[in-house]
Amino acid sequence: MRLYIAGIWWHNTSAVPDIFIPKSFLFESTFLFAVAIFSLLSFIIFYLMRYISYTAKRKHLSSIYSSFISEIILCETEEELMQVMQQSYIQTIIYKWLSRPIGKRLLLKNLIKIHRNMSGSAAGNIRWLYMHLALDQDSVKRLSSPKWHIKAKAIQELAEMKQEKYISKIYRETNNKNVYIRTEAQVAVVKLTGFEGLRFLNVVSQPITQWQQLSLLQLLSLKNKFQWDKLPGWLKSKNETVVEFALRLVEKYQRYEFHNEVVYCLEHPSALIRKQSIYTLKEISQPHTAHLLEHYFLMSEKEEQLCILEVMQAIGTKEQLPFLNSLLAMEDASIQYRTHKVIRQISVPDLGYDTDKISGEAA
Amino acid sequence: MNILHSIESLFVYGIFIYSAVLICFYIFIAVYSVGETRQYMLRSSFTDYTLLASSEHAPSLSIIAPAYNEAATIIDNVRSLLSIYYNNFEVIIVNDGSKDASLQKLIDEYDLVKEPHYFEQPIKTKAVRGIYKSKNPVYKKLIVVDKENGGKADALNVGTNIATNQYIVCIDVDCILEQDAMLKLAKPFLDTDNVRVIATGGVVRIANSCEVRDGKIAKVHLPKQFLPRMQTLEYIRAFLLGRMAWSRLNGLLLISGAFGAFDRDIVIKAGGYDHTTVGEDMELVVRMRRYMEENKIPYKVAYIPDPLCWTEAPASFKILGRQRNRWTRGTIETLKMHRVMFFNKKYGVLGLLSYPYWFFFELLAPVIEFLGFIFFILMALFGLINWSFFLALFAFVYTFAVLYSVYAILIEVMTYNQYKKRREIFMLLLTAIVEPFVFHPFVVWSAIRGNIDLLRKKNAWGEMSRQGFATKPAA
Repeated sequence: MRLYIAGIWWHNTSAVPDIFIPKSFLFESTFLFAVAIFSLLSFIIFYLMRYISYTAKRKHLSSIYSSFISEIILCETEEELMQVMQQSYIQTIIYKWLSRPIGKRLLLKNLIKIHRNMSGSAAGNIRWLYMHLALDQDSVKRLSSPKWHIKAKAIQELAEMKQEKYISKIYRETNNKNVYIRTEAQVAVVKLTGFEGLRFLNVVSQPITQWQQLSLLQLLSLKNKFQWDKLPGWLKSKNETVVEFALRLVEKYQRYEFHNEVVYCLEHPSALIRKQSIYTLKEISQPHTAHLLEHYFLMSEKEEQLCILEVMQAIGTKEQLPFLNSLLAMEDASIQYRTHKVIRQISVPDLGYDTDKISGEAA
Repeated sequence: MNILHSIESLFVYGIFIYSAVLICFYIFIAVYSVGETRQYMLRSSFTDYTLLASSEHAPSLSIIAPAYNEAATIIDNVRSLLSIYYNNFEVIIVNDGSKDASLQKLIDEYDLVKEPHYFEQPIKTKAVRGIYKSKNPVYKKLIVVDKENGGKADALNVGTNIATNQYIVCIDVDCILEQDAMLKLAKPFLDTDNVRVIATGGVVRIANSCEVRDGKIAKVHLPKQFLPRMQTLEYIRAFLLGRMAWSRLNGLLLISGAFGAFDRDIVIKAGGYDHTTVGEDMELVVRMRRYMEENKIPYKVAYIPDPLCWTEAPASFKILGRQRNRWTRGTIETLKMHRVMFFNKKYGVLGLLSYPYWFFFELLAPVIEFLGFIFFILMALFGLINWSFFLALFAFVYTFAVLYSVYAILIEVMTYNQYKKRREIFMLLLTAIVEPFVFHPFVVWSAIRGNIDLLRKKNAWGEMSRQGFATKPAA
């Protein structure tokens, strides 16, 4: 506390401070601070006690729910499910705990967690329970919450529980201004409808962060029905992040048929897109790609030039050597260094050189 | 007499305004940080960090750990770094001309062989003697660099030159990382749309008295020793309140040298670590920010309030004094180097708020406090003290200081709640009451010594011997 001794300065014989800082003010403030300290201390004690009791209650409830959910998971028919639900201890759970927010919240949390690790009929039973207890209605209700985290959580729940019937409500949120709501909504539509869910890319005007792109790519890797007809449109989108994501899709799924569209993106106004296009071309390279990059090299900025050289290491052939040798005349040390690496790589590929282990004599 | 009276009035009014502004800053920080912490925790609840752990698109990291005479612990520390929960990374250990057997131990343990290695040298450094890689594919992510001694900053620069990845993570080799530390540190680089994240840093916590098992924190305890406990409270205040508020303002000037990630490209463009200062961690962040401001590139320095890294705090007054002395010198040197930003609107928040705050309340504060103390003693000796006013003022300042600490403890309890035992929380509260009388004056005195050492042009780092963690073998 820097303040501690600094205050000592203005206490001496001079009456100056008294003009604007009367002693009574100091005493009153001190009293207020002391009261505040005492209040905070009391609150800390109260909070810790409440936290302990809440943790104990949560533990107790979790064990009750755990046995309840285990029984549900093992059922094979709807009749069996209904029979389980009729048991008195489950009725008690429903009446005693599900009417309380803590009980409902915890059950939902447990259901989501278990559903995430389940498949087949067990997962189906979890979803049945979710619907049977009208928890879907609860999630839908929370979709209209003004608080972003409540709304986003509701979307997450509906998607996890595969509630396709609410897709239109969720879809509306894919362009929400709040990044977390739209992220959850975009993930949800892809979870619910697979590749088709990417149709939000046709209209989304808000940016799709790199994190979001990563999430979507990861999610799509679990799906297998792809529709590529919309991709050329996404590559021309006004939303730069849509173009970037489309390029990543081409890269990941190695869609050679979009080579020309990707080349077109090399002239995109955004440097980020241009860089991503270069990396994408590496994955869908054709015999003339390296030659094309040679032409593009001279028009590019330094960062892109470095990317091109990096890609050349993978796709370049001896045909690129004259071009690469001409680059050695450039003054830029990084360009020279990278060019040396590419030349080595192309000249002696059979030696199995790791590009990072080039002899010190190279330059 | 009139002139003397005017000077005195000017002085007294000046100090009054200084103190009033400082109180306002504390109140602002306390209030402003809470919203950000809450938002972070809410946002974090939607984040599945495991996504990064397995993804090939995760940001590529080069972890750089400088080592100087660390033979006793280097093998375990490197093993701990190699086992971090992340996929896309390499570990670069920079042996900064150690005089002990650090390098030989690494060579023997990890099957290292010297390799011909050519790398760019965008940042000038001391000569590299050799680069070693393991013959064992299990350790393919490990690179050991042997170089001439040049200090921590120079070692980090060598690591930056050699790094092949997009982001560098600079770490003290003896720190203990949380399992998901890299995931949390890397995420902000992806989580932005129109601004470039140039650096991220997380909370550093004090590991004294904690139980350490297999290089991980197994159980958190409040330090039993007096000084580390004081520092625990100090760190809670600084990391949970101060840095969180500055992060929200995008005005953070410091990312702890113990653990931080940086955009390699910007580090190089900004010129790398400056080896002429002992505050190289702060200086780099300031220079990177200055570079971005001067080039008008939108950017952000991200901060993660999660505890990511645990470090051993000095337990003796001697070592603590050296540490604070060095911190003071580092702050002064950094602020002096970048004085062009002082109240310069060209640098936005950085020039108008962050820099002036550091100048007035971090750099000048110990000097003002110390002179105030001397002044007080002189006045007391001459019988010029208005004791009733003094006591009123003292009580005001003291209760405010305790209130601020208690508030920080409350935020800790309500957020990360690292200290589970009620006894430990009460010990922390007790610490808040005692701290202004014992710990704080010592910190001020160390800062004064830092100022004096700087005037004498002493540029030593100061030896930082450590006691080691209380380790427990695996069950």
